[in-house]
Amino acid sequence: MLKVEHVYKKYDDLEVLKDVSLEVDKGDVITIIGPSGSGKTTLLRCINFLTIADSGKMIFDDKTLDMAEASKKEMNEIRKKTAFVFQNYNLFLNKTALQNVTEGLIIARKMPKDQAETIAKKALDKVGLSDRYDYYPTQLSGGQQQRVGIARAIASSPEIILFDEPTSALDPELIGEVLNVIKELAKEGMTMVIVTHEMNFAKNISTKVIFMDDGVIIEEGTSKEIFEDPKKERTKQFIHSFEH
Amino acid sequence: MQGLIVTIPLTIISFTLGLIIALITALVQIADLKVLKQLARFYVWIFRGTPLLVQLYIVFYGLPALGIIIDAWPSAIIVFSLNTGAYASETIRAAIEAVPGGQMEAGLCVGMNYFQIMYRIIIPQALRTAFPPLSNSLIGLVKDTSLAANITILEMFLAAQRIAARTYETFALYCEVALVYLLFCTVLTKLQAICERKLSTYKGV
Repeated sequence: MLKVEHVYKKYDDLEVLKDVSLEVDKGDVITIIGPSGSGKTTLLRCINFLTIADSGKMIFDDKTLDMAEASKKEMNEIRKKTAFVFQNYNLFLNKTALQNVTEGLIIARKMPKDQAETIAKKALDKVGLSDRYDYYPTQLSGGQQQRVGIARAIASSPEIILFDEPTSALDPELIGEVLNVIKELAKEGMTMVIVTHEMNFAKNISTKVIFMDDGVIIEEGTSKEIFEDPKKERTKQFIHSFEH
Repeated sequence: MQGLIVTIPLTIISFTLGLIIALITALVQIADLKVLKQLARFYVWIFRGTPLLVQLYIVFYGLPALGIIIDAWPSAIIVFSLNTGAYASETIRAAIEAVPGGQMEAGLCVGMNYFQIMYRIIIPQALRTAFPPLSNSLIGLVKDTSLAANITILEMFLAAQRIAARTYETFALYCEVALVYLLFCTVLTKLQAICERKLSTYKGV
């Protein structure tokens, strides 16, 4: 469904992504793990053109495009097929929970308001926020805000949802509620790429795990392969550091 | 005080026009439109760098020497709105820049374009931030309109001067003028507080 090949990105002299390739098939739940600064988030952002790669090729639904030279129209097309969940939620601060979800549907997708609201309410109900439609982001807890973020993502029926460390900014006791929502989506067959530091979660949910370090993919495989029987020394080191 | 009949509309018209100019000037700079941006910087530089009184004199007394004759009222409105616009544009620009970058990114991710995000997400948030300093500009403008006395506009201050010339009650009269300005600005300050409370809904309590 989605393939990115030979993605390369550097900031000044710092090479963040060095020839990274990734393939996502329908129904995949891919988690990307690795130490901070390994390029996980940058890779995710390049897929959605929030960061423009220096070079790289993208194939999305049989359409090929150059990631460094994509036009605004092409970017917008990809963005409409995908959804992005941010580490710090990035809810529209001047909009209520419901408006956060309807905004993209009404404005970007030209959906009639009542239809958008029906979809938005369904999405918010699904993430357990049926009693928070009219709350502003500042009136919600971090976990609730992130769940609105997820509702906003699923409402547009994307082909893929990209999660950028969705629980990293949350208090420990709020992490569970967000992970549960993501697990629920996985069960329904939602295609997702998730950058995360939650190792247990990654272990349980993934159809494929990618371990990145220093701008390259060190190793990828099934959850079992990566977590129980990693081949590369660097992967072993990383996985072991979490087993205390 | 019939002078108020001049001060109030002069303030309202100039401030409204000033805000429109400010918003355009700020957006041109934020959007990084090459030539227009230079022009905007130049305009702000000129109007912030010269005294308001001198600007009034140039437009009303200076331009006729070049064959451009503008009546007192339009002169005052042009100068006051351009002057307010220059200051307010910096306020608005800073407020827009203070909106977290993630708001733009989130908008792009749900498929909105730059203008939709600016108009619906970023500018509303920026105006909330800009509201107190813009109120400052408004209060400043109320008092600055007294300078219009210098170009023959019979606003409150000039009216008082004329009465004083007739009656010699300078102290009482000028104190009265000061008091009226003070009252007017007090009303505006109260209004500002009420509006801020209303605007604060999404900022949480």
